[in-house]
Amino acid sequence: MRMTVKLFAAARERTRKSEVEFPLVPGMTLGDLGKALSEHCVGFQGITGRWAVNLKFAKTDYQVQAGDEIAFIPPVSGG
Amino acid sequence: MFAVTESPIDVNALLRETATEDDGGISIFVGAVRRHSNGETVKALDYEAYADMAVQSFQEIAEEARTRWGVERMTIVHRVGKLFIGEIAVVVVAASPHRREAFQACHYAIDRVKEVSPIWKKEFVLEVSSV
Repeated sequence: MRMTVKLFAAARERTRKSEVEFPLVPGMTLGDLGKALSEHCVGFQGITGRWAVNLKFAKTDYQVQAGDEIAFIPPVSGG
Repeated sequence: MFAVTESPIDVNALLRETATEDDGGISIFVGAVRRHSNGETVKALDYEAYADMAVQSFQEIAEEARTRWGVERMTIVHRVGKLFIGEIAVVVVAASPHRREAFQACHYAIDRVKEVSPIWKKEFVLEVSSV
């Protein structure tokens, strides 16, 4: 099963992708996902930000479920 | 009403849509693009949003304001795309029977949007050259 990770702002600019697909490994956490992205997605290394799952911020120890909408949220600057 | 839009924001329309006959105090915050120029270049702002999550954050912020001050009618609308100086990027409306709660809710909401809503701005530069 694959999942899609949405990328925004600096994450999108540096990777040149607004979405990346990743295989879902059972028990995978957001922290694991971040490490995997840093290894396999050029430009993602060193980007700061928080994870969001299903439109809410989530912690790095959250275990990803099939069907989750996942996004990487760099420091915000709206308003 | 909670929205992310690419269109210019009509403040009067949002005021009419938010306030009811029960509301004696309506507080409106308008966030505009201010001049960031430094001589030869005029900077403007390019706003980006994770729209679904931003709209949900606006709803949650309004709920926080309702819990704290009892303000039941709020609108938060943020615009995205390339905005030039003077254009309106964000509007918050808080309507309440009395002004104290409306002021507080409005102030709170814009501060929270800036803190948690998944929206980003980036400067872009227009070169101004003399021919």
